[in-house]
Amino acid sequence: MQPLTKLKRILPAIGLLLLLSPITKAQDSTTTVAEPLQTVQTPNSPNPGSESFLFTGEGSSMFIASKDGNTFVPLTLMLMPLARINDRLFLESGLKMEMQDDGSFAFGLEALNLHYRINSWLTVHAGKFAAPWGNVLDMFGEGFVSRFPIGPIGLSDDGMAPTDLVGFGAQGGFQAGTAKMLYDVYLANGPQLIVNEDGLSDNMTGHMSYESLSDNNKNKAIGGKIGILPFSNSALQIDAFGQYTGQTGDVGSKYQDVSSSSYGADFNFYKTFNITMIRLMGQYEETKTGNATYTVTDATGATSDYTFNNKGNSWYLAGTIRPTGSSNDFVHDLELGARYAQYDPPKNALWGGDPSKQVTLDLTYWFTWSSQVNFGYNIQTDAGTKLNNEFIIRTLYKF
Amino acid sequence: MKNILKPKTLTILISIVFITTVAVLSSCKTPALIAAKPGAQLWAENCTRCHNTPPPSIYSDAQWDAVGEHMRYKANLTDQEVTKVVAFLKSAN
Repeated sequence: MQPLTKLKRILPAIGLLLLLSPITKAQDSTTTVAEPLQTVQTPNSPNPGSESFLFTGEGSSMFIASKDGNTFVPLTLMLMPLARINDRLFLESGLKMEMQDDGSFAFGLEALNLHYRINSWLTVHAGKFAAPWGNVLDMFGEGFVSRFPIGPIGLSDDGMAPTDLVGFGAQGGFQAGTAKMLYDVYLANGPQLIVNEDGLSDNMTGHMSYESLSDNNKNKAIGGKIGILPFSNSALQIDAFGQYTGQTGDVGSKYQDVSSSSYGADFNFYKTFNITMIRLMGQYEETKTGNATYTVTDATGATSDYTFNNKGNSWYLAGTIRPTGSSNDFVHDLELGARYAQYDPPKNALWGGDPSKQVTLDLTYWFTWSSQVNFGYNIQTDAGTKLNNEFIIRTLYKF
Repeated sequence: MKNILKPKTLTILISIVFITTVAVLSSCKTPALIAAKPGAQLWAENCTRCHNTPPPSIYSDAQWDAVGEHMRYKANLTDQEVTKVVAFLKSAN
């Protein structure tokens, strides 16, 4: 489709957005507390502006002990400069630094996302951002809120669903009666189909790469999330999310039209009973990739066709308990957690097999509201093979 | 009929219906019980959705502005929630 034709098709939607913006004026007027912005105006600046800046982030280190050996995992540092440029513009960014075995650091741009607030319920944004794809990456994406020293299997970079996106989107949250609703929709470069004809070992053919910053064809991924917080105290949140990409293969290749669709749901619930706060959370996601016949070359140099039902899923359930009302300062700062996670890749994929399962137990001690030490115990089977149990200590400091 | 069911046409139609629904729902009058909630209560309820409640003293007024805006996008807080929570944190720091 020609770009002009595309533009014509989205124009009605854009027009409708602009027309509907004033509808929220009534709701805005109910705001009872308004804080004046600190504004700075220079003679050469026609538009008054202000800037509120926060340099935040977190650093963590980890120790893992198992029958395979004991090791300190090198330091990870996440820097997150946040800038509220004025009352409509906001820039969030994230730079991850991971120490390597030789002492050098590997850098990764986690986020660089500029937001523009159109009205009280609509914000548009563009840049690189984490997929609003389940609470593992979204709500509990930062280390200091994750509550476990390691993530659940199959629900981040090791899984089959979107992680990083480059594109633009629209999001917002609003009151709908006593409930609250939220949405986050986007258009992004989308995943790229991995095709590797050389060898069978470590061959990820048929898997998607979600980390490429540029696109390999003209097609884009469309996706988003809608959520509801049905109780007026925001104690329960339920989200549903999905993404569709019509083309994931390199342009001009026979795999160009291989599609990818992913969808899932998550929930998060907390409640304080007497002196104890209980939290329950979970997520399910599933990805289906279009049928394709790939060619692979084995160790002898012989080539053969390879196809499989390219569908997989991941899920987890977790719970934590914390005696927030205890009068004992030490007990008050403890949190106990347990989590079960499972990843079912396509059984007949070169990178697939039997389900991987993981049970993680955790005891967290909170030094401050955000800094913590975690004592974890991880029991895991990887594609049916039992791994050695691990004892994990993680320290994390948020600044 | 076939034309209407083309994926791109369908996407645009769904988008229009979705945006209209959001606009209508968000324009509904907020119940008095919700509108009367003070910033301190909203701070406790919304921060705890994901993490422990941060003490007001850890950031300056300008920094709370940045945090409030970040939470608008990270936690999809409503406009009223951001305004009230940030005002409370500034008044208590």
